[in-house]
Amino acid sequence: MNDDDLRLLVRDSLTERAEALPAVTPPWDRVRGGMAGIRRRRRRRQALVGGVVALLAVLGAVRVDVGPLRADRTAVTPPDGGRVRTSAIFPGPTVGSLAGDRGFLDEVRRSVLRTGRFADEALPAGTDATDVLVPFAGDVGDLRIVLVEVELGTSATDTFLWFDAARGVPAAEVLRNDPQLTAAELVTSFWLPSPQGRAAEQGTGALVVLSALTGDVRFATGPTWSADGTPTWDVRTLEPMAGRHWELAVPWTDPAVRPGLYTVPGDSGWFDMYPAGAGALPGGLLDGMQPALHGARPAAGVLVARAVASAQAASGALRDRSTRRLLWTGLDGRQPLSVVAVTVPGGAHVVTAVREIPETGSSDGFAGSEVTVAVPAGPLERVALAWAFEEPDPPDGTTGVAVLGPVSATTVTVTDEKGGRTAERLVDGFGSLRVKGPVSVEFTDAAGTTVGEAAVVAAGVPVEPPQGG
Amino acid sequence: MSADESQFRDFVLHRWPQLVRYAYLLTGDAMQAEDLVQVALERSWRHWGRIRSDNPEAYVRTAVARGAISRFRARSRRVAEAPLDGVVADLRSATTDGAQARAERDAVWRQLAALPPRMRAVVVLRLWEDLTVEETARVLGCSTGTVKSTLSRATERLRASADLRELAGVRATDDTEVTR
Repeated sequence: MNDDDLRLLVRDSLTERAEALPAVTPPWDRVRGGMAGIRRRRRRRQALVGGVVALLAVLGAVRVDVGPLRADRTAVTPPDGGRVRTSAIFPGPTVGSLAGDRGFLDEVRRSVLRTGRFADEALPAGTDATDVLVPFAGDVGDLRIVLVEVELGTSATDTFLWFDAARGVPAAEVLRNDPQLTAAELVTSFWLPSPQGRAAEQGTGALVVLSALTGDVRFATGPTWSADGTPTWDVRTLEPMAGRHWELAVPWTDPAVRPGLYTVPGDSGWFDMYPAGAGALPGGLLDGMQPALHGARPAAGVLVARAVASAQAASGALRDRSTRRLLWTGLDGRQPLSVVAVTVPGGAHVVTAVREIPETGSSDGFAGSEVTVAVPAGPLERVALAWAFEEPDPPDGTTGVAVLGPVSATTVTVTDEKGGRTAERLVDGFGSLRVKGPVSVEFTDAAGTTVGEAAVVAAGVPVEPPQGG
Repeated sequence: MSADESQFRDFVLHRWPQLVRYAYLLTGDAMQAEDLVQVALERSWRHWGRIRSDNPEAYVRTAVARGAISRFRARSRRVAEAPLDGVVADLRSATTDGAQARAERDAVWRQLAALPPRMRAVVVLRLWEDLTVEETARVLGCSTGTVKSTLSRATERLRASADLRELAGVRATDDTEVTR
């Protein structure tokens, strides 16, 4: 049996098995319920890992461990005999700057009831205004934000929808906009850069976090870079507001750079504040850019633009306070690669190498990987770099090393962990080779004089604050 | 329902069978496959705002493939592979062409189940999904060289398996008889 026969047999076997599997699409409600269960498990794991001891009490209060997060509601009978309910997850009165605006909250409830639907499902018979819960309503930044919770009866969990509109508009108008669905999680957060949901050249976005868990919400901006290329993050803990919620108006001035990152209680990881439609490249990225420093290829095309966008985002520096230079662009083997330097205030250079993997399945046609390196202040012509892209399972134990030397360099010599040395000629300052255990590189010019040295960087510099920091 | 959720629901309901079958080939277990798809979808929904305009299916499939590998790794620490007793005997007893073809496919399926997770994933992605070497490397987060060498090793292991050698012998005998 030759390879072709065997592979054909494998394909037939797989096809037969796949076609024989009765993969019936379940009802949407079951899918959503399953996802909610996964989220709960994930949250519990994260909370346990984080050592949030107080979480246990909170979980007990909302009975997460004994079944779905179904309405274990607080039901109070006030003197007038009417029902008053509060959220099972976020108990207590409505929070936010509009919490005291009875007319606004009533209009929110009426708007939900008027449509007879919520999250595209019919409201259960008998649903009245007291069944429409509003855990949050308020103006933050340029936005008016409302969180509405309804028990639809068709789901194992309540359904939460975040609605948003421009600050100050009436409730009916807020409820008219498309909402964002959130699951019945113990922590829910909402971030939007503008009332239109898109990155804006100006304006103030909004971050709101509600939590049934104890813990902090931290907000980080940056990094800023010292002249020697050391990043520093500005991390601050937000003060909680009444009802265990947090609000922050977030300025947004440059769509090429994220305005910040944040953490939520029970989760030590950073949430990146991506602008909506983050797949689109900000305009004008290549305006005025010179040809590549090495090889003089023009700074043009979507590949270079994507590399510039990556470098700018990694730098954290606003475009109008930084300069950009294409150092090199071309093919690394068969993969397009571009190296871009963003010179930040203080003179350091944040250099990002982006290697693209052409693919046919993506709408924009490309995916890839990148490494960011910080270089101390100095002329770009003298920059010496060596990096290894992430490669979790390298063949033959070797590591792919790409290098970019000073302008005068013609040869690179890689030193490995055993002291072995491998030399390679550079083309337009660039070289690419595979070495076992590469440690450092030395660049030499045509006369054999050393003109630069660099350590082989694997992970690059962090582009987010350290966890827990 | 928000536009986002509506789009996500449509995606899930439309692609569910294909995703589960894909996960099934990667894991060999229907229940695990559904679970794996659910986990991948939950992850995708968290990032939907970012991936919806790009290629959400590629994102989900990548999450499924990587999840399958990590799950298989976790499982393989607890459960030893079962021996394939009786497979060769089944092959020998297959008398008709149709029965033998079926036996061949069954034998391959069982041999695939014995492959290490990454090796099995490479086989599924390259031979069934028809992904290129580069695409497979991206999905599994490894180099193109790894994909090539892994597929080569997988092919060798399949070919070297005892039941498939027997099977080849049965086929050769049949061919000889036809020639006579």
